[in-house]
Amino acid sequence: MQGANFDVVVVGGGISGIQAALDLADQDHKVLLVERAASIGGKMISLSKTFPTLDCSSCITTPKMSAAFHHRNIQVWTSTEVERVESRDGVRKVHLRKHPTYVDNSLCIGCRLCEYACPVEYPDPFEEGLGAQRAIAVPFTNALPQKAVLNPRYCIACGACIKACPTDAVRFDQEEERLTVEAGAVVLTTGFVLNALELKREYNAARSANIISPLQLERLLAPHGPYGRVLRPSDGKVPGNVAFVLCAGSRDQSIGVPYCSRFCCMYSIKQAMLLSGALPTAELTIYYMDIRAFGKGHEQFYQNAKAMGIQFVKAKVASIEPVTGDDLSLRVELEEEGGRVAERRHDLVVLAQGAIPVFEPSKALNTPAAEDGFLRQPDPVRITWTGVEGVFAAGCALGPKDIVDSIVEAGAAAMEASRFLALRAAGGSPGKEPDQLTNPIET
Amino acid sequence: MAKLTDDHKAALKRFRDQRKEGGVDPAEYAKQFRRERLAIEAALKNGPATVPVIASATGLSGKQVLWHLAGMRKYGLAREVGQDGDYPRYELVAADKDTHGKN
Ligand SMILES: Cc1cc2nc3c(=O)[nH]c(=O)nc-3n(C[C@H](O)[C@H](O)[C@H](O)COP(=O)(O)OP(=O)(O)OC[C@H]3O[C@@H](n4cnc5c(N)ncnc54)[C@H](O)[C@@H]3O)c2cc1C
Ligand code: SF4
Ligand code: SF4
Repeated sequence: MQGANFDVVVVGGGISGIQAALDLADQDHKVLLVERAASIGGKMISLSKTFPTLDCSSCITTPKMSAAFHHRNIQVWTSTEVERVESRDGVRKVHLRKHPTYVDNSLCIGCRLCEYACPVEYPDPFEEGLGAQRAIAVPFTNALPQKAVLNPRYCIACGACIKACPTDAVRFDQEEERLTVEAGAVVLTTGFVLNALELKREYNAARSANIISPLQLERLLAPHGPYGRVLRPSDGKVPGNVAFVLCAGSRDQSIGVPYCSRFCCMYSIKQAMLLSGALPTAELTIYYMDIRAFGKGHEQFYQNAKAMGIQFVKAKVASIEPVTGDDLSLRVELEEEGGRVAERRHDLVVLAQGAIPVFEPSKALNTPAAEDGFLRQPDPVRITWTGVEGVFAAGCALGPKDIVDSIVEAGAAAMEASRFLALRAAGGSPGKEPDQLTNPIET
Repeated sequence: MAKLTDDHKAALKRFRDQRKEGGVDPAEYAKQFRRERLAIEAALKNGPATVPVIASATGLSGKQVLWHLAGMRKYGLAREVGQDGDYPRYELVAADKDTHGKN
C-alpha cells in the first residue's frame, strides 16, 4: 500500500471521524479512515446512553459505524496509528504505523473460537479495566471489523488459538508495518482522553478501587457491562450512596488544565439519572462549582434531575480519604453555608476528570498547539481549518465538546475539505488561504 | 481441531524469542491468573457465595475476585444467583457442551 492515494485521509474513527468520512464519501471522494484501536466507534460506542435525550448510545453509533465501514468510497484501516502528517508542495503525506494484530483479516470470520480456547485473561480496555478479555479476542460485541486481535503482552504463545481456528487465520509472524499514504486533504478527528484519575493527589484515587472514572461508570451502566449491573469494584456491593465530584481535573491551574471540559456537568447529571433508575434506593449527590447546562435541552435535563431527587450540593471537595468498609470520606466546603467544612461519607465516588488532547500538533503536524494543547483554529470564520494547508479538524480534536457539536463540526470539516479539493482541481490557489486571514470580516 | 504445523511452530518460536528480546514475559502473569481462577472455582464448589465470602476463602482482594467473576460471567463459567443483603451471590455454571468456557 506504500504510496497509496486518497482524496482525503480522516484520522481517528470516533463519531467525528465517522461522520466526516461519510459526508466526504457521499460527495464521491475516496476516503481512508484510519483508527488506531482495533475497532472504530471511539468513545461513543462505549457510552451507555446519551444526554440530553437518553438515547441508547450504541444503537446510534453502530449503524453509523456500519455505514462507514461498508461505504464503497471508504476504506477503513484499524489498528493503524497516524504518527505524522506533512503538508508540502500541495500534497499531504500521512505517515502510518500498522500494528500487528497477529490475525489475517482476509481469513478471519469472527467466529471467536480462538477466544474461547485461549487460557489467559487480562483487564479489558473496552470495559475500562473492570471486565476481562482473553489474550486473543474480537474486541467487543459490536466492534467493527468483527476480527480477532491478539495482545502480545499477555499471550503465552501456547498455540491453542491456532488449533481452534477453522480458517488458519492466526499469524504469529505478522510484523509492524510503517507506511506513507498521500492525500489531497486530511481531516484530524483524534478526539480526547481523560487525564489520570490519580492526578489530584488529595483525592487518593490510587488508594481506593471505589473512586472511579466516569468512563468506568458508563460501562457499569451499559446493558452488557462488565458486572451485568452496577456494583462497586472493591467488593461487589450494590452501592447505596454515590457521589459525583465535578471539575475533578478541569478548571484547575495547578494540574495544567485551566479550561472547562464542557461535557462533564451534563454526563454526570445523565449518569446520576441512570443510576437512580438502576439503584432506586441509592442516595445520589453531585458536588459542583457551577452547572454549565448551555446546550439545547440541557437546562430542562438538569431541572428534571433535581425533580428526581438527585442532590446538587454547591461545594468544593477538598480531599477524599478511604475509610473502613471500603467507604470514602469527603471533606467538603459548602459554598452556600459560607464555606463551612463538612465530612460526607459515600460508598462510591465518581471523579469528573478533565478532557485533554491526544494529538500533539507540534510533533505530529509541525504546527504549534493552541494554548489549551488542542489543535489551533486560526480562522474565526472557518473554525475547522488548522492553519496548515489542506488539513482540517473536527470534534474533540479541537477541544472538548458533546456528540451533537462534534457531528456538526465533522460536517463542517468535510465541507471545508471538499471545497479545498474542488478549488485545487479547478486550478485555484488554496495554498494562498492564509492570506484570507488578513482580510477579516468588518464589524 | 487442527494440529500445529512446522510453520506454526517456527512462527510461535520466533514470536517468543522476539518478545523475550523486548523484555516481555507474560508467563508469570498467566500462572498467577490461573492460580487465582482455580482458587475462586474451588471456593465456589461449596455453593453460591458473595465477593467478600470468596475473598476471605481465597485470600484474594475483593476487587480481584470481582474481576475474575466478570470474566467467568462473560465466558459462561459463572452466573449471578440471588443476593445476600447488598451483595449478589455467584455460582459456577456446569461446563457442558454448550458453554464456551471448556478451555
Ligand atoms: C464519561 C463520558 C460520558 C459522555 N457522555 C456523553 C453524552 O451522554 N452525550 C454527549 O453528547 N457526549 C458525551 N460525552 C462526550 C463524547 O464522548 C464526545 O463528544 C465524543 O466522543 C467525541 O467524539 P470524537 O470522535 O471527537 O472523539 P473520540 O471519541 O475520542 O474519538 C477519537 C478517535 O481517534 C482515535 N485516534 C486518536 N489518535 C489517533 C491517531 N494518531 N491515529 C489513529 N487514530 C487515532 C482514537 O482511538 C479514537 O477512536 C461523554 C464523554 C465522557 C468522557
Ligand atoms: S497462543 Fe496466545 S492468544 Fe493463542 S490461545 Fe495461547 S495464549 Fe491465547
Ligand atoms: S482468528 Fe480464527 S478462530 Fe479467531 S475469530 Fe478469526 S476465524 Fe475465528
